[in-house]
Amino acid sequence: MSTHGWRLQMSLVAVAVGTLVLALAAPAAATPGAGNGNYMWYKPGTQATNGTLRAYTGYYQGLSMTAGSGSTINWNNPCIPNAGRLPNGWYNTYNGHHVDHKPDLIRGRVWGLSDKAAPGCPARTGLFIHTEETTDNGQYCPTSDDDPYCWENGDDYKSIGCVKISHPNNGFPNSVGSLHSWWHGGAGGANSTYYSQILYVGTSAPPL
Amino acid sequence: MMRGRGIAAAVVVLAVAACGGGESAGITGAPADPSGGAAAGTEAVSSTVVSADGQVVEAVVSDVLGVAPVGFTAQDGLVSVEGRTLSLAYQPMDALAGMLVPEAVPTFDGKTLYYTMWEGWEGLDGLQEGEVGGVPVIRRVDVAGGVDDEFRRGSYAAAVSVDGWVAYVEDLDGAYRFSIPNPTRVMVASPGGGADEVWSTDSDIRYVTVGWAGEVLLAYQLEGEYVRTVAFYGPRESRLLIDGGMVVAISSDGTKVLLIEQENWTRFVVEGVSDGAVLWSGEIDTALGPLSCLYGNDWEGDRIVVAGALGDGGRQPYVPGFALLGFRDGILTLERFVAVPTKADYLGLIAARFTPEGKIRLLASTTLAGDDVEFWEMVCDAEAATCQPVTPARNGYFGVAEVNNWSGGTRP
Repeated sequence: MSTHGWRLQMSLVAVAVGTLVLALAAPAAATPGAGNGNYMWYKPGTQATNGTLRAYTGYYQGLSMTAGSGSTINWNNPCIPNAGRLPNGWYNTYNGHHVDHKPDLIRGRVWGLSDKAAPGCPARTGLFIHTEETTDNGQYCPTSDDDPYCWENGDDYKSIGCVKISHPNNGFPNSVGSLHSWWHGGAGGANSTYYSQILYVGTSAPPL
Repeated sequence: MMRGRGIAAAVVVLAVAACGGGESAGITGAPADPSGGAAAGTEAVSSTVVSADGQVVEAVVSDVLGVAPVGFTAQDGLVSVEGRTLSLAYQPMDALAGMLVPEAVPTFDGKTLYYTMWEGWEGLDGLQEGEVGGVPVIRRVDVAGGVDDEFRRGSYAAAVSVDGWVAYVEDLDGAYRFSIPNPTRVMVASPGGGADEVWSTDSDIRYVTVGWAGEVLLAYQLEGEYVRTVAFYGPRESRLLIDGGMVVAISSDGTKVLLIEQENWTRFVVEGVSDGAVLWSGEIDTALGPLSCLYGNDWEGDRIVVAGALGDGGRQPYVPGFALLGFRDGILTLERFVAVPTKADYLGLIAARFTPEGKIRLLASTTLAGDDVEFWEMVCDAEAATCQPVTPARNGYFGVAEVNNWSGGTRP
């Protein structure tokens, strides 16, 4: 090997090592969670159907979309299972974002949430962020009534214990698609992945 | 099994849940004004609420706080059974079943009371996945002697039939574990003793026993907050009554059940409990919008009372109140809707009961700041369209006791 070749090789090695050092020094892709500034905030509205879900990346708001939680005249009572909105506070997720929660119940993109209880009230369990869509993120609207895998109108923001966001059907925004992109843009994983403090529910901004 | 029938009032405690080991603190301060500060009994009747045919009227709500009658609230571990006030060892609560089912229920003869409490329940904050959040315990009270002892550990949601059969659910690992499935099995204890029978067959479903319609046990299958209502006719013998729906009321003769679909809370279904036959289904629509309600209301003879609202919460704003329905000749009809006015920002009516005096008792709630919720009750006269509030309590630090017929078949 010539001197020139040796020097060239050493230079390449130095560049490679430098690149590796830089790579190691750079922060890892921030995963979802309030600790990394990547979280969602659901702010209840004046009705079950007009709350707001915001998504933050590095503490900066990247998304804001209409969302709903609860139903019936009791929608604003977090003590009431099956009809009241989600209780205030932070939620973890134990199964990250995945496709279908038991395909006969919730299909398509869904984010599972930890159990929660308002002070002095019973536990709310089986909580999710989701829309109304099929397993392959489409729409199935076979009847003129309210189909479970079809986003027909604003009443679909109502839920029995979840946060609901819209599917791009009938002129509604692609909120579920935007949230999906945000999630994976923040290195959010899927299936059986635990993330702490992924969603905050409350009328005031989350305590960080 | 053979079971007879009889007549008795039932005092039942519905779960709003209390905090840990018999605590019932939190009932502080002056009684709230559920009319939201309205002048004494002068809430104006709104012409927008009253229909020309009188089908929809508006109640005048008194600002004079009444004395709590027997029923609804069970504060500081006190409940009323057959006109007697009992002091329980623990405040009844059900951290999982919540308001879905009665939290305590006496036997038909009024001699024994079963109630659920939770050991170690301190809310859910700080728990990790799978960590134990509490242990449900059903306790049994000898009403005459006052003895209050443990009946079944790791179990909750007692429901007593007219013959004293006690149904309940048993958590399969004996405790609630945070944010994972908590499957249960349906158990039935004989009034004569002996081993309890297992009535359900699944091992991965969370059941909650609801009540009895005569000799038929009604239970919920819960997938999170999605509910299927199931009728059990005996061990391993069941039928799905509604997929995505819950029990509004059980007929007093125990032969029928009024259900409501969860998806929109406006579609009612009347079914026969013996065969699941749909006797009627549809919406109760009015000029002010459809009638919606939750679970836990009352059915006496051919009359049903439900607490809820008219409207859809959107184009047609909710009008809170209670409805008197009739089920005759196979048709469910609205007889009268009594709007309950309030100046508070938010009023939710949750449950309604007929009283022995022919009045209507309502359980209502007002959401205050944050998650603070004030529960209170009122007694209404449907004909006079008047209501008197009683006994407010904040944030559910009490059980909700009620005289009801969630043991259908208790009255002819």
